Amino acid sequence: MIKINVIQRTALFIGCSRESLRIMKFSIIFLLVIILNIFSSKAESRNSPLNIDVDAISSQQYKVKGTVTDKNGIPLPGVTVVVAGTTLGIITDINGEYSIDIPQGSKSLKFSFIGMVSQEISIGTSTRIAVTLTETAIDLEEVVVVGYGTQKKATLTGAVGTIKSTEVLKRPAANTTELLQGQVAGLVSRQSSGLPGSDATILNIRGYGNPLVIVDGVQSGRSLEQMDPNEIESISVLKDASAAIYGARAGNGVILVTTKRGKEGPFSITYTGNISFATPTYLPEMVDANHWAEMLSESGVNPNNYTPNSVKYNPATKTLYNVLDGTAFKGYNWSDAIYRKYAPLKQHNINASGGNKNVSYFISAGFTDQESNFKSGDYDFSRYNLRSNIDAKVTENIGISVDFSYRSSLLDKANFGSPSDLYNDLQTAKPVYPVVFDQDPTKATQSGFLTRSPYFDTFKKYSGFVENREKAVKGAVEFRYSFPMIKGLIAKARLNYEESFAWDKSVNKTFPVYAYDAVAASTGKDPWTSLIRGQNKLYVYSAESQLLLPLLSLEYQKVIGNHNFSGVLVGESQTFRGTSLRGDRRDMFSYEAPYLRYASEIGKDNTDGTSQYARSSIIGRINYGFKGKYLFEFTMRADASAEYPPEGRWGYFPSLSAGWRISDESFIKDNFKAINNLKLRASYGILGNDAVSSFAYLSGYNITSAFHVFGTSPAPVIASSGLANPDVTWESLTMYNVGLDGNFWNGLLGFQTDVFYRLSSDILAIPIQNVPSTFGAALPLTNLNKRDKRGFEITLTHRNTIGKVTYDISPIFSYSRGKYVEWEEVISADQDWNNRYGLTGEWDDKRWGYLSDGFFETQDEITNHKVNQDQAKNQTIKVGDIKYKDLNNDGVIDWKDETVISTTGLPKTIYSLIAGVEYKGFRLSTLFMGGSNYVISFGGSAAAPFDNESIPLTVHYENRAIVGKDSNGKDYITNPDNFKLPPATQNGLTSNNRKSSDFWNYDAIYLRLKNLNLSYSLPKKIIKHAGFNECIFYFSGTNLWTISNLGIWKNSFDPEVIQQDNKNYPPVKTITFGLKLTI
Amino acid sequence: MKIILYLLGLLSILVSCTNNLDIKPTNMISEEDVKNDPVLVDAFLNKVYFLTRFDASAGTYAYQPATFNVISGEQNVKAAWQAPFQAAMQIIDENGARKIEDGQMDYWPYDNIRSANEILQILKESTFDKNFVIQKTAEARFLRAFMYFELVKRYGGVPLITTPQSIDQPIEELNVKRNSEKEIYDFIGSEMDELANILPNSYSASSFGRPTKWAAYALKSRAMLYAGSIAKYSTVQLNGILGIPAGDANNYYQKSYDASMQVINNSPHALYRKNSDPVKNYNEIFVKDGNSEVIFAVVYDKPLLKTHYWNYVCTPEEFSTGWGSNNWYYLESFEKYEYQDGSSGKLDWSQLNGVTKFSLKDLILKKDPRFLASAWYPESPWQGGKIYFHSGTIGTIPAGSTWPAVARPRNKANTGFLVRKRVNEAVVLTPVPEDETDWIVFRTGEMYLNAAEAAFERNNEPEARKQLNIIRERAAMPPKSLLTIDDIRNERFVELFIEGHRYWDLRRWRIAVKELNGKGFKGVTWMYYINEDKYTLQIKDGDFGFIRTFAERNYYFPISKSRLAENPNLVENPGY
Repeated sequence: MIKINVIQRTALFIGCSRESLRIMKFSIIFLLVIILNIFSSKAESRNSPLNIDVDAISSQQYKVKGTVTDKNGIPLPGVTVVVAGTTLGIITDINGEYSIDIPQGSKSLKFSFIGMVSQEISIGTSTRIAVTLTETAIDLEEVVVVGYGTQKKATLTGAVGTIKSTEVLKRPAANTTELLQGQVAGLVSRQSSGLPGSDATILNIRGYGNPLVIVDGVQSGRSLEQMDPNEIESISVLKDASAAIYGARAGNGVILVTTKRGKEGPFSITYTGNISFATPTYLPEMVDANHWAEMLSESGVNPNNYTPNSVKYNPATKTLYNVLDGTAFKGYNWSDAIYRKYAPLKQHNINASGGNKNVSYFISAGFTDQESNFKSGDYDFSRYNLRSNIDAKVTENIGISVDFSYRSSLLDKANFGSPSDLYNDLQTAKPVYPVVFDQDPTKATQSGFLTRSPYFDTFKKYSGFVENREKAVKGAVEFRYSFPMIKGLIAKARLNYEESFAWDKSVNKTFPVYAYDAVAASTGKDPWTSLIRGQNKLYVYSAESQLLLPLLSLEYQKVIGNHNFSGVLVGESQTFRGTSLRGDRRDMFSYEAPYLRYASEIGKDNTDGTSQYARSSIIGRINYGFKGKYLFEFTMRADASAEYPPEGRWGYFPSLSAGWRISDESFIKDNFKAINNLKLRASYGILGNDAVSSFAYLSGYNITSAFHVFGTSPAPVIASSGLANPDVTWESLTMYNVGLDGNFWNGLLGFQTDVFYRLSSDILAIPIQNVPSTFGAALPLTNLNKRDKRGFEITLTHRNTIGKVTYDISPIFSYSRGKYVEWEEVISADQDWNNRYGLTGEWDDKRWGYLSDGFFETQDEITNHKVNQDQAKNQTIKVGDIKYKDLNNDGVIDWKDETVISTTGLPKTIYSLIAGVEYKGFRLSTLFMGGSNYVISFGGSAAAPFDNESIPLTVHYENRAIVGKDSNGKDYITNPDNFKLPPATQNGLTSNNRKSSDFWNYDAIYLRLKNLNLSYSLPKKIIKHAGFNECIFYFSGTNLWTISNLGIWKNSFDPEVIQQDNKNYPPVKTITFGLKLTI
Repeated sequence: MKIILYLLGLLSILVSCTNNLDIKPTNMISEEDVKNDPVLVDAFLNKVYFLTRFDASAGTYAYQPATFNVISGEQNVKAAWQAPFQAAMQIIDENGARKIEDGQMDYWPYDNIRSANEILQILKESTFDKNFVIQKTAEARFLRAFMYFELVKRYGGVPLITTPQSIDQPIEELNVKRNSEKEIYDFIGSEMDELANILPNSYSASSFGRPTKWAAYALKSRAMLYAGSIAKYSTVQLNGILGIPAGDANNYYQKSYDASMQVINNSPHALYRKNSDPVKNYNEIFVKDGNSEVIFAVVYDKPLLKTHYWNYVCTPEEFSTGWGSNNWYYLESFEKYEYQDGSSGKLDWSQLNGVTKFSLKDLILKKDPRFLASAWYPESPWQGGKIYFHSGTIGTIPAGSTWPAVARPRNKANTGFLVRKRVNEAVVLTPVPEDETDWIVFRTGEMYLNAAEAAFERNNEPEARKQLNIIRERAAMPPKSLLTIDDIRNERFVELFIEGHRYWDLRRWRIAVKELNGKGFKGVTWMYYINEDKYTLQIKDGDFGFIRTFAERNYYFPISKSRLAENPNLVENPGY
């Protein structure tokens, strides 16, 4: 009965979505769920827990029943109930109830559940035992996924950060990488665009570089960002030598993603759905038409030269007016026209899991539909994710797993080129030109800058379209064999296979862009003139690739007294091959038939490509623990890559780590009751980075796509590949890490601290000291350079319950910075030059520039200025120009006066604060995140009005210097007390003001409320009647509040974007309403 | 024990798996294959062609080809952010320590010179067909000499390397010294003397774009003229690395003159004179690809998708399809063109006051036909329409008139005259940049001017006048009577406008400081008085409020700190 309810209810939810297609897809998944459920319940009846261990069950047994609840009295399904000392066990049902037949003489029952403190209750003579499990505060039993295995957190010796699915799922995001923000100390994640399909955050561990991302044992490029977060069980971040088990690819750390699997327990089905509304965090506001004209006039340009005929500028009133009737002219706002306030994002997921002792399953289907803030609605991203992970125990000794996942995404957008193309057109759209003509709204309006029409460009029907389709099918089959004669030895064979497809189609259209001459119209002439915008062309691109990754492993575990041994030996290989094909055509005969064969033969272009790589690896790990107090781990990986010379193909990557659980020592245990856990860890390892060269050991000639022309024939070009380096090999990275973990007063204070150092050596570089450039051949890449990173991380946790209120708070702080240790560079005879440009021994993030020193406010100030600032005796300096400090006092401003004004790259200091409070069914959680010690650079039209004819921003208008002439005809600044920017000039910054300086490069700091989540879980009592197990409503908001030190810019630009040129779709803030329903 | 057996079994399986590692890169040809296949050697030579900077500046993209025209003060571009203008303003920035390397002006093609040397070596050791070896050897030597000319005109003396160095050579050998400026010019001269006897008179149409013997003479003519003026106008510095002894001037001028006269008298490359209309005729020199006057050119071809942006960015807004109205005449450049009666083109700037009225007929239509062919000016005809520049019309436009009250925004915004040279009126612009007009590297017109200058500098004014007047006569301009050096230089400006000569001419004559430093060039705003059919001109800034700088040291580019640092035997040019 309940199941039918489920169908109806689920169908209701599904019915909410409009597209019947989606209904169909969900229905199919749903059917699968039902079938599996029936299958498993049948299996259950055949193999009920009571009957499994037939031999073990003696004839004398009796029943014990009971309910397991949490501290709020809510029943806990899925709790393992085991008769102590036996393998007899059962799992609580959906109502938290259990009923177990136990043999006579059994002493106690053990209740365990992930995230709860296990309890052992003596049976005595009771036949009813009710148990209340409490959440573990310290999670020492928590299992952490590490490379090729799992370990208990308590005995972990490496620096491993973890994110659990419950954390991941707290907020919605179309791009899964976004969910990792602020969760793990040392994991930097920054988002610089909110554009659908391009909104991935940059992931970086400890400032190292691109980390290796492994999903269920397979290296994955984009697949983390495109995963459905509902499929994720946990994410581990291997920050130190614990990553060494991934060898040659792991030098930048590893992010391990594990998907959910079914557990022994009752069938449950969960629907999660949400709808979000996204709006840009900051949009630079452009000035209105009158201010535009006023500033243009100030820059020395007559605004009338840029206005349409019917609009003229009155310098006396500094306003524009309509020529025909003399009325005031208001202007148009192109930005408002292009954007809508809120862009919807819809996500649905339905998953089911369950299992009995023999078969367990997790299946999931998800759908994401993300729209952009373009009013045209022609920029959508949508994605389907399907997954099925099935585990079965075939015999006592043999287990199998079958994993399958499928992803299909479509980015469907108007063909306006790259976002920077569109933004260039938008920021040059003059506010004196209408966005749409009143006289004929169907005609594309030119923006006043060439034949551009950014508004119409966002419509597929004008500019054409681009479709990017991606599909990925992944499958894995695994066999496990537990050797019956050697207890603890398990052999595993796994085959991973992935097939990816990409298919793109791009159609560019031409369309007429019109100008309307109101003056001509008033005299009866044809007011319309038009020019053609765009190009008639198309291309089709398709790519497919296969990745085959077989793996064999042996695992062994043995406990001898106080000695705990475990080991794993793995062999794996990886073969990748990809091919692509692309066809380009111009001049389609009809846009209605956008096919290669319906286009001109002229300019036809086809091309193909292949890429391949292969590697083989042998991996081993040995763990040894003594009394659970002294922990040692040794790993070794041997990697061979096809891209290196056969003789030096194998690389060896060992690592060693140790832990000391001080809290288990009697001098602590006995004297300091408050200390629940205290562990000292240290690790050392050698890792590799092989993503840096390709076949550099071979020399020859490269086939290029370039060609010269003689007569009317193409003359193909081959180019020498340069000298080869037969000894080329991996970059090698040595990592050191020392950490201290602790937990006091049962969770009232927890901490995890790490100090690390990484030395990268053998970094490939071209040896330049050996031969001068006149030699003429590029010397081969050689393993030459060294650089390092050092830093520390602190995570504090505090968790407490006061009355019915439970709260937790966790501040995280991390710092990382690096130096060039040895760097191949030219050493000049000029020591000043070496100081400025030399790298060896210096921080690797120095941002050089001049120090600004106010402005030249009068002509006399320039004339009397003793420092030759432009190296042309200040003949090019104007009033209002930035003054620079002559740091070396040589009377000239040149590169010798540059100094370090900030640090480049990612924020060196990152902090976040995770805090939550829970009361009855309510939970409020927040994530604050911030960073400092990084530079935000303002350039292009973000820095200066009229740069490349761009429209000034309000911030420019409000802060500019205004230059006037005094009675002697000399320039002076008329608003000396309230300006912060140089005067408006014709084409952006003058070469004086454009110099790299602290004026445009902010040593930035920011803090933002990254996420706020308020959820309410309906009381069990109420929903139980409706057949639900859990029902949570939630509201979530991201990027809701931000503070930064960006001064006058802070209300126009997002501090997570480092290069501010106003040419990209900004990050977005979102608000979300969601529902989670479990049956 | 069993465990060990299992382990061994596992490992043996794994090791047998490693043959998946035998992968070869898919885009590479081995050295041996290339050495044994003349087609591949030729393809390698094509690379040398491809990377030799024949165009005046790097790149075919949009505004890039205008780089040296802007630096020289011949023309300006639409906006100050565009690279040519940036380059013009930044020439002295940062002490030349770094910036100049980023710019388009720096050119240090030793990699391509090495390729040429490698090809010469491969050919020498090969067993290919003899004629093939002779021809390809000559082409590679021509390209190498051309690159050395590009080097010497930038840096003065540079290391002269004519064989591929081996990485096994001792570092002292690899750390070459700079040869003298004179040695480089002499190398170019002697190479061209030899090649003129090896390279063919002409090629079949399918090989158009390869150097002939006449290209060798043309390169010699130009290089020797440069050497002559360096000897005459510059001083010897850095122990002879820079400069040429003054006593050699006559010798170089004579060599230049002789080479020019070879082309003028003996080559098939007669001055182009297909049209009686001098405006049309001058225009066609640049747009009729492969016409008689073209000695050597870089070929562009639309069906092969080898095109550039010139017509796309030049075309006035009325006829543009996406960019347009980008390249502008300065007022000063306009003034360099004489009127058809031989009178000076200089205007009285006090009359350019927005009040004094001019008729187009007097002000423009009587100008040197080469101006009328090279510029769009108010009311100039184009593809059946007209191009306008006026910021407004005073008076009532009669009903039914097609006169626009005001010109297009982009036409009135800049200096008042647009650059039209090299734009083919016969081509109707598409929305795509795909100009296939060849870039002429050498043409006969230059040879007459080289001959005239060389003769004049050797005090043979009558011969100079004779050659110069041929050029003027072809342009339908009256002959000059007694020449001055300024006449010759002005004629060179007018005839070779924006062909990549002016900047280097200003440098070799050592007048760039005088002509460029502290200057901000001008433009005009046009206003039309309809009742009188006249215009007023208002002088205005044509350099976006910037001031140009050119310091004495800029007559040579810096070798640059990084090149000095990598080779301690190099010395820097003075002032850097």
